[in-house]
Amino acid sequence: MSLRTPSLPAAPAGSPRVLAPSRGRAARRAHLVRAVTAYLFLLPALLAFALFAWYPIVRGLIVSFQEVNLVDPPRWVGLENFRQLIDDPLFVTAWANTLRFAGLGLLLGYAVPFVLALAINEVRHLRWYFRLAFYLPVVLPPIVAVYLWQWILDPGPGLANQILGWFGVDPQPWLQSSDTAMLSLVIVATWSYAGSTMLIYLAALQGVPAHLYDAAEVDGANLLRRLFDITLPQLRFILLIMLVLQIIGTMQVFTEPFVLTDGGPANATVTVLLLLYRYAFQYGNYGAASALGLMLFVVLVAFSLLYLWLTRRFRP
Amino acid sequence: MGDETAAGRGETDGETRARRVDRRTLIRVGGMAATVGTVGRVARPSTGRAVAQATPSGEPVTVTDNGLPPENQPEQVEVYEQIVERYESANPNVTVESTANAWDPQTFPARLAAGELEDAFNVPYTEPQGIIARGQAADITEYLQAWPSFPSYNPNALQVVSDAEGRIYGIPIFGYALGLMYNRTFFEEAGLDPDSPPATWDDLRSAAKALTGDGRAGFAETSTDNQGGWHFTAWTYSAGGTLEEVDAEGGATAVFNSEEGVAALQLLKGMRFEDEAMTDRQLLNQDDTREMMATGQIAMCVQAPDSLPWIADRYPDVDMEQFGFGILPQNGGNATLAGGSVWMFNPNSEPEVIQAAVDWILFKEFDLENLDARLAADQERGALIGAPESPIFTGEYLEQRQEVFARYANAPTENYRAFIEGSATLELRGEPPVETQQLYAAIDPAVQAVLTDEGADPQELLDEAAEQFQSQVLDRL
Repeated sequence: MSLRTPSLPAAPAGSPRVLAPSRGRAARRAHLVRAVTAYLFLLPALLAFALFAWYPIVRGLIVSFQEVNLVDPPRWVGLENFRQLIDDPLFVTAWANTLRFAGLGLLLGYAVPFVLALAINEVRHLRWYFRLAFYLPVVLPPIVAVYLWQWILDPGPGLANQILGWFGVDPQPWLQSSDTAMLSLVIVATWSYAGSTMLIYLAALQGVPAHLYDAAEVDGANLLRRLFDITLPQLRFILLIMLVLQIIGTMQVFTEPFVLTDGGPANATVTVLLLLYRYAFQYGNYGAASALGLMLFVVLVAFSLLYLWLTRRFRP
Repeated sequence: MGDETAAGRGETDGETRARRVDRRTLIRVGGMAATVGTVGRVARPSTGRAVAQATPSGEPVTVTDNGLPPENQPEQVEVYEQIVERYESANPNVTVESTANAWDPQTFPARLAAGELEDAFNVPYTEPQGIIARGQAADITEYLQAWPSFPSYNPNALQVVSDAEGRIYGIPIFGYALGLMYNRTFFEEAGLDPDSPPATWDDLRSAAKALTGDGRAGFAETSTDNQGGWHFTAWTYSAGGTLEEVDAEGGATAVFNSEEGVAALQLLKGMRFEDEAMTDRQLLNQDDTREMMATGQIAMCVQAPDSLPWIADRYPDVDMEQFGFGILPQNGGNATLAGGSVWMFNPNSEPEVIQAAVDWILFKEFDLENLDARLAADQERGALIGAPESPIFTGEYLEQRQEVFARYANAPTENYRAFIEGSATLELRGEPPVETQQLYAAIDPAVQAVLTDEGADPQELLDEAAEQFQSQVLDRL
């Protein structure tokens, strides 16, 4: 994941600032040609985004205020879709569950890739192997990974309970209980996505100047002091960015509850996107689904603006 | 946990979608359940052909449907292609193009609006009334009535695909009633009589307890994909309850938080936590319980009889002699849930295409010579023939059809005697009539709760579900 776009090459040093009229026209023409060429290169991407991203977003906004069943002509209904959502007891449940997932994700999922990156960064041998091993789940198709976890978390002979059994811990219900289902989903998601985040942290760790550590070692700083006084301050920008990106990602959780629990047991894992999916594709109520999508969109835009602000405020 | 993608999962697995199609159904199918393989008399089949020519003009026509078996069932695909060849050689102006896009409620409206829907599509009994009301199916009354065997149709089956004026919008092809599938070998090992499966709730509980052990659960029940609500409906019927009441103005009231509904949930909760006779793993759907039956992980579960050929197709090494079928255990209701599937037709297709599509479906499903050839091929590939059905026909055509089946039946029909004889004494009740799938979706969490939470309160759960379904769905119609 690239957090910064490469900047264009700077103008060659010594370019004349003041040009004679004929040379000015030539320069302007050259500039125009360059600009047109650049926009022509951009055109396919602009068209693709317009067709497959911006147009659906605008349509979604419009549909939020309409009754749409794809058979009869759309009908304007004002705020009725939003009223219906707010009246739905599952609306509050879905937001609460989503925040719970995001919160547990911060506790567990946010720390794991950072700790992995720190550990691998300290390893002197077989570093490539550990990088590969922890990254491997990322290359699995999400559905395959999720189904794999269905077996691991099986309350009977599942691998997770077998491992707990080695330590004398009783079998856990995992996905089968309202108390543990959400935590189980966070474990699955962490396993699935930690590898890619870990690589970003690893890259950032490589950028910490070695002389800082050398100086700290000379001063007798131990591992923890080096972590808190050098590593964390040096990585605060990337940690902050990843925090915001993770919140944006976890607020959109869908695949894990959809495949593993279908929102159960007893609605304990119904998330905002799962509820949206149900409104659209089970109830055929595209208006309410779009309205819910709009609400989520507003929340995510807020976090995205925060992300943009952070990248400008703290960019090294 | 980094950049998670919130992509929706498209239904890409043909089997999964086929499961959704063949699972529930309902409506009163009137007649009693009967096995199609028990008629001994053998007669030369007469053709059930409807229309002498598929299209009046004889102009070339291409018909599309969604009846192709999934790719991972190559033998079924081969048999299917033989049927297409037979039809096309008899009707040179018609080309049949089939897809494995089994009907999916989640994509149906979009595919219809986008012009991507096949000319003929197969749906379960839960759907035709909604599809008819929304104008999403073609009127085929004249075409179907022209079929010579039309008078043999069970009127109750036709009711599934008819509107209030009696216009017909579909072709019912299959009917069933929910019952109890069980493993006869396990019954014998547990000292139970395999010819007398549980017929009451009390019998079911004691049998499930006796059958639990050796890493095996006595019983399993579905609770996801709307199938918790589906089976809850059957359990409620078996206790004499109902799910919805419709008044004279068409207004519907959710009434499943009744004494009977609560009793149904208490039955499941008791088996799960008091008897400890159910699987630890919950949140199951129908495919899960079928797989568990096939692999000996459970001894009993609620199924429709089409689970038998389903298992035989997917687990060819499994001994089908070990499975028996009984009625849904009763608790005073003397009833079970009945269903089936129908073909409907794209209202946006040209009339000539619709006519040809109706002719093709009638040939594929009901032509007796074709049926004879298909069953011969099915028998050769090792398919199970003779699982019980709830007949959608009466009279002469039913007899002719049963005669053909009798010739090829290889299922151990004696094992289904309890179901066949018991179903004759039960009322076969249709699915709740209004917004059935959303009703089931509202009930699923309650079923999940009693199967996963020892402290769950059935009455409270059903009150909440009924209130939600009433305010969010029924009151907004």
